[in-house]
Amino acid sequence: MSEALQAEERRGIAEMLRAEIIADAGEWDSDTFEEMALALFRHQYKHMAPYRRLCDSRGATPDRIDRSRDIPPVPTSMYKSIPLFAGPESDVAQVFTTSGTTGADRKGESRFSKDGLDLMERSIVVNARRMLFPDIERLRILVLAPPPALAPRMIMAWGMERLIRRFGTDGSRFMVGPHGLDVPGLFADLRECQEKGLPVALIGASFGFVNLVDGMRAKGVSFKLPAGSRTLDAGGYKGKSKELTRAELEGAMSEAFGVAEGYTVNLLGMTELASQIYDDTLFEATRARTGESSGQTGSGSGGRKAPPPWVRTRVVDPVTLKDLAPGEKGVLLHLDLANLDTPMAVLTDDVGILRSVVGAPECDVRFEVLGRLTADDSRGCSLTVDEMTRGRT
Amino acid sequence: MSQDLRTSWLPPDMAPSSQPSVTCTLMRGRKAALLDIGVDRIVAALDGASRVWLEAATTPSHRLGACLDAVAKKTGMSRQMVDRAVLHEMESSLASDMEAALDNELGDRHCLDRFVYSPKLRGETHAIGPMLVGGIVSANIPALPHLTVMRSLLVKAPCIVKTSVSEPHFLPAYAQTLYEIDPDVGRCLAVVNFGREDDEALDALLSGIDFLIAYGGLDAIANLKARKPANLRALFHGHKLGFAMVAKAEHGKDVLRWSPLSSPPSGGSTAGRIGGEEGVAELASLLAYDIVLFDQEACLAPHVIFVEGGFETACALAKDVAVEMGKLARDLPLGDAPLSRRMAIRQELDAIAMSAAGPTAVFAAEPCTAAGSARGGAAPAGFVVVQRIDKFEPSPLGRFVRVCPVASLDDALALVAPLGDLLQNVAVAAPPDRFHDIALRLARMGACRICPPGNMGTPTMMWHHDGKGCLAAMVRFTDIEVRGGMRKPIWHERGPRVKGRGDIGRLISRQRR
Repeated sequence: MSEALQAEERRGIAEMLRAEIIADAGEWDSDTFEEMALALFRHQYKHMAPYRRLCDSRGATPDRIDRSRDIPPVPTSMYKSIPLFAGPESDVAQVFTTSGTTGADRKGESRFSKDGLDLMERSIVVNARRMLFPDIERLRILVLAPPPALAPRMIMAWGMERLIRRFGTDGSRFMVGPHGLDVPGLFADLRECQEKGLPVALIGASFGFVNLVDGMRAKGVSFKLPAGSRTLDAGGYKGKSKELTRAELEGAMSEAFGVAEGYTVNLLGMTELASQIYDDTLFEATRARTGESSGQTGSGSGGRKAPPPWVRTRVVDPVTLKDLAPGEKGVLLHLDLANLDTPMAVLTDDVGILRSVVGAPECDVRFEVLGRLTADDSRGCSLTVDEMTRGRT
Repeated sequence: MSQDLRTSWLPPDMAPSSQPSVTCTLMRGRKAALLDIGVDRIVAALDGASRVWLEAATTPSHRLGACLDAVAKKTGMSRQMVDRAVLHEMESSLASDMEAALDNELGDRHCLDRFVYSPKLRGETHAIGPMLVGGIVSANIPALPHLTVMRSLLVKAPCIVKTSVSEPHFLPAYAQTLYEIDPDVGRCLAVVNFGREDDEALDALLSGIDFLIAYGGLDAIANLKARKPANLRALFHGHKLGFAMVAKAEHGKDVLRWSPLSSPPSGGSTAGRIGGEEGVAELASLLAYDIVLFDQEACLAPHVIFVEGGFETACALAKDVAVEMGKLARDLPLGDAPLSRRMAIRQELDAIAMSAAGPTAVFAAEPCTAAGSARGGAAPAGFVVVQRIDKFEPSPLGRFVRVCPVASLDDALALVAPLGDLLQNVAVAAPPDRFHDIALRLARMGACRICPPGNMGTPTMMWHHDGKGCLAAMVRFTDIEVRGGMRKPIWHERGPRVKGRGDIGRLISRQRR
C-alpha cells in the first residue's frame, strides 16, 4: 500500500473516531465501542509490523477477533525498545518521551501523526469538559509544568497547552521556566485571583504539588482561592518527593490553596495513552446535580478513576491477560480508541483494582490505581539480572 | 529505634530486648559456654533440628505446618514447593554432611575443640571461631537461612541473624526447634527482624559482631559493604547466575554422560546417559527439575540452556522440557508469584513475539489447574523459549528458561565469559572426552559449581559456596609447630653460598654479635 493510501486510511479512521468523540461525550453503547475498536485494530495490525508479529504469535489476527477484549495489548516496556507507529516514519509529526520514572535507562517513545495529534486533542478537550470543567466554561489555568517550547517531548505540556487554549482565561500560563518554578509569580497570580474572586485551576504533576505545598507550609504561605477553584495533579511521586497518601496530599492542597472538598482531582496520564483518565469526583458530583448519577457516588468514591467512553480499562493478570474479579489486585490494561498511531491496547506497569458498583455496565467501569509495579528486592542471590549484567555484556 | 522485633526469637533465658546492640552484647557472652561444648554435640543438635524439619516437610498436619504455610504465603511459593525446599535443605544438613564439610575444610573437625595433630602440618592445630557471627539472610529459598546458623554454630560462634522482612517466619521457628533439642546450643542463637531502611538497627548489629554472613541483592550488598566497620570480616553471598550446556547428541549412541564422575558402574543402570529418544526425554526431565525447583529463585537455577545444534534440535529439547515442567507442576505447583514477576514474564514473551530477529518458538508448560484459578484462570506452569542470542539474556525467573541453539559449546562459553564472577552453577551434559575441557574453561571464567542436569539446585554442604571455603573462612587457626627452630645457623647449611650473605644471614649475624 502506498504511503498516500495509508495516510488516507488513517485519516478516515481518525475522522470516524473524532466524530464519535465529539458527538457523544456521554456513554457509548457497547456496539459503538466494539465497532470502532475492531476497525482501529485492523488498521494497526495492518500498518504496524512489530504489533502484527505479536498478534500473529497469539493467533490474534483481525479475521479471528470479533470482540475488543481479545485485542492483544502491548506492554509499555516495549515502547522503550521497539519503534511503534502505524505508518511510515515520514508521517511522524511528533514524538513524546516517557518521563523515565519507570526506572529503565532508556525512555519510551510515543509517535504521533498529524491526525493522531488532532484526535488526541479532541480526546483531551472533550474529556476535560466532562471530568474537570463540567461546571465552568472558562477560568484562570496555572500550570506547574514547563510550556511545550521548553519541553517539546513532554506529552503533559502539550496537553496542558490545549487545556489553556480551550478553557483558560487571560492570565492562564505555564509557571515553570528555564530556571524552575516561578514561585513569586505563582503566588502573585494566586493572590490576584483570591482578591478579585477569580476561580483558578492549578494543574501540575503530583510530585510538584507535594514539593510546593511542603515549601508553602514551611514559609507559612496559604491561599483561600475563590469558589470553583480546583487542582488537578497528574501521576504519582514515588522517588521524586516525600511520599504522602492520597488523603494527605489532598488535605495539604486544600490547606494550601483553600480549594473546596471534592475539587482536588487526580489524573492518570501516560505518554503511551492519548487519553487521560480522571478521578470521578467532579464528574459524579455534576451528574448527581443534574440527576444523571450512575449510582457510583457515595462513600469511598475518592481516588476512583472513570475512563472516558472511548477508553475501556480492565484489571488483568499479566500472564494470562484474563480479567480479575473486582477487589483483586492486577495490572491495568487500557483500550484507548484515541491511540490512532500507537497500539490502542496498552498493558501498563500500574497496579490497580476494580471499584465499579456491581452490575455497572462495562462502559461505566471505575478503578483505583494502587501504585506501580516494582521489582521486589527480597529475592537474595538471584534477581532480575539487568542490573547484574549492566555493562558486562 | 524503629525496628519491629515481633517475629524475632531470643533464647528464653535472655531478657527481652529490642535493641540489636544489647542483644549482640548478650550473645557475645555466650561464646565461652559454646567453647566448652564439643563439636560432635553441636553437630548432633543441628542434626536433630534438621530431622525435625524433615519430618515437618513430609508429614501432613505436623505442628510446624502452620509455619510452612506462612512461609509459602510470604514467598509466593506453593506449599508443596516450600516442603520440597525444606526437604532438600535439611536432607543435606544431617550429621554426616556437617562432619564431612568440617573435615573437608578444617582437616579434623575436632580441632575446633582442642589442639589436634595434623599430619600435613606435622604439628598440632586448633581452630577458633568468631566471638559473634551476624547473619543477614534473604527470602528466596525457604529454609536456606538455617545454613548461616549451622555454619556459625559449627565453628562455635554464637550468632544473631536478621531475617528477611519478606519471610520472617522460618528462622524463629527453627531457633525454637534447636533450643528444644539442646538448650545449651540453642541459646547461642538469636533472631532479629528489622526493616530494610532501618540503618540505625543495622549499624548496631554490624558494630556488635566480629564476622558477617550476608545474603542479598546488589544494592543490599553494596550498602552493607559501605556501612560495615572496615575490620569486620565478612562473607557476602550476592547475585549469581546459572545455566546449562548440552553437547550435541548422536541419536542411538550412548554419547553423553552427565559427568565422568558419575558414570554408572559397568553393567549397572543406564542412568546418567543420553542416547536415543529415551535418553533425551530423561535429559529434559532433569533440566525441567532444575528450572522448576524453588521456582528458579536460587542463584543455582538455570537462566539459559545452551544446546549444541540447530534451531530444530533446540525446539525438540525445549518442547520436551516444557512437557516435563507441566508434569512436575502436578506435584510442585507454581505459587502465587508477585505481580512484578508475572509482568516480567509477560514483557519477555511479548518482546520475543515482536522481535524481528531470527526464528523463535515458545513452549508453554501445561497449566496446573490447582494454581492461578484466583487470578483469572490457570496460567501455564512455565515457559520454554527457543531463541538465538548474541548476549547472555537472564530469565525473568518464575519457571521461564531460554533454550539457545549454538553451533558449538565454544560459542556458549564466549557468551557467558563476560559474566565472570557472576557465574555460579553450570549443568553440563557432555561426553567424557569434552567434559573436563569445558569444566576447566568454566572454572577459569568464574563458575563455582559444575554438576549434571537435575542436580543444579541441590548442592551438598561440601560445596565451596560461591567458590569459598565458608567454614574455613570463619576460623582462625593456632598452630603448634615443632619442625622449626634454630638447631643450626642457616649459613652452615648453605655452605659456600652464604658468601654474599642474604638478609637473613646478615640479621642473624648481627644478632649473634
